[in-house]
Amino acid sequence: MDARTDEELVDALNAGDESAFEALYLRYRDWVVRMAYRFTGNEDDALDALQETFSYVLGKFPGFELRARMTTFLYPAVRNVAIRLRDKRRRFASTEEALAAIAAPAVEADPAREDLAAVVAALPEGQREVVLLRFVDGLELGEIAGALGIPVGTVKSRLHNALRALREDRRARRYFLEDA
Amino acid sequence: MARRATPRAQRNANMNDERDPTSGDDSRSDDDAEQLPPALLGELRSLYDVTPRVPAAIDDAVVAGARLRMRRHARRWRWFPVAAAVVLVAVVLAPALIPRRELSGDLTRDGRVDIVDALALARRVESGEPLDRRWDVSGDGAVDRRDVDAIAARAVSLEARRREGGR
Amino acid sequence: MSARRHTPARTARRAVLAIALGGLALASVALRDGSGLAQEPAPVERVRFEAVDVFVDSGERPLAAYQFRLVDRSGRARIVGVEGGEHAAFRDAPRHDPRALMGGTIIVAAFDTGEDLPVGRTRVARLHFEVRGERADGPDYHVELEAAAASDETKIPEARIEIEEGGRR
Repeated sequence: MDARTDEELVDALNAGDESAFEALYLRYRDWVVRMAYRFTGNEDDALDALQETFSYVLGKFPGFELRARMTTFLYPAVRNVAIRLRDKRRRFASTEEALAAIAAPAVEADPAREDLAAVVAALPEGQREVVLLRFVDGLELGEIAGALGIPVGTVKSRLHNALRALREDRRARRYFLEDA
Repeated sequence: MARRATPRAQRNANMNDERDPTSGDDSRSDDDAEQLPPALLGELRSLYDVTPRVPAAIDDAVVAGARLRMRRHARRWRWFPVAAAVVLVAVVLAPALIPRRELSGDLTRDGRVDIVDALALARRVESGEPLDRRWDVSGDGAVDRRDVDAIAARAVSLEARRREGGR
Repeated sequence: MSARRHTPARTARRAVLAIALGGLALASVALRDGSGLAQEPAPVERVRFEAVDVFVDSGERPLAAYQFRLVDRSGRARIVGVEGGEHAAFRDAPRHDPRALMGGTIIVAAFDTGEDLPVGRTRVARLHFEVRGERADGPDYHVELEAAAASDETKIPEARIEIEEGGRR
């Protein structure tokens, strides 16, 4: 595994170091394909999105400047590519419908999990995205703000509203009661 | 296609992950403002933290494709410094090598047509001295007062100024 | 009964007729009781007219030709007329682009081939403007002398230009 930091790899890639691209790819491959799968809900599309996203990344070199975390730069790219592929597959599906795929993971016959999936699916798109980035992907608020191109205050309010909605939904309330 | 949990998801499963927002890590006080019950967190992650397995063939294709593109790019730009130098020399020398195109009506030869050119032609027309056919700005075959008017009209024309990209 | 065809042209004619009849009905109501549209006049923007005098100072050399460009950067003033200057050599209306009228930018120029030419500071032109809006939000005139020449066709680099708005400098 390449021990260089992201910044060092970016500098090396700008200088034409082929191994730097491979190192960046291996470092972020799983993260990108996971995000892509979340949007597409389809593994083939997710793999296509992975390749397109890294092709887009490579197109930024030489001359790329890493001003934030790599994931902050990658997220909008993979999001756009994945939604486009999803839309292409469902030719007449809107972006909203494509985003709804986030909230419709394959759930085995488990009523509790089905309920939770339904509750998350019912969240407004912006809130759902923030909840998943925060709690599933472990991104910090600032990183989420950077990835989505919105102020941190907006991230906070979306998160707050999403959690309130989860608490108030009878299907998710039990998690909070158990916790108490 | 097989799916696998990411290493981070595995770490999160025991809820002791230092990046876990529910762990109460003080270094992220702002982020910790909103927390989820551990059970809910675990369920969310099991639902959404799914990473499709990437076949080795795709890894190879992405990396090999990138190498190819980078090499092509390097070849394309190998001659860039030379080309840039040639262009720079051409730009610097061009004004000296290319004869300046004479501006119709620019009697004073200052590179612009203004009212002083009209004055100059008017004085020549009035003096009766032989007139240069190049001053036939109106294109009617004669050099006379009409050409003076044409030069003056051009000097004050907003459209002409716009065409010249002037102020 | 034969079915009538609804062509686009027929539909358009009907729409125009309906709008015209509706307009007539509204007008008749407004005229009859003096209410409605007639009682709500649209706000009127204040308009005034002002003159701008343009002076060229040619120093000690006789001025045979001048050319200047004047712009109102506020967008409130529109040129409505161009008048000549005070000296006989420039008393006739100077050259300008007729398309500049009703706009905010104009290039004005004049020359004289005679011997009697003004020396020093002289009013070469007077421009008339229509100005919209409050007096406090006046126009923002900018003038640039593009050329000033003596009778031997040489430029007068030391020549200066200035304007006086509505009698004020």
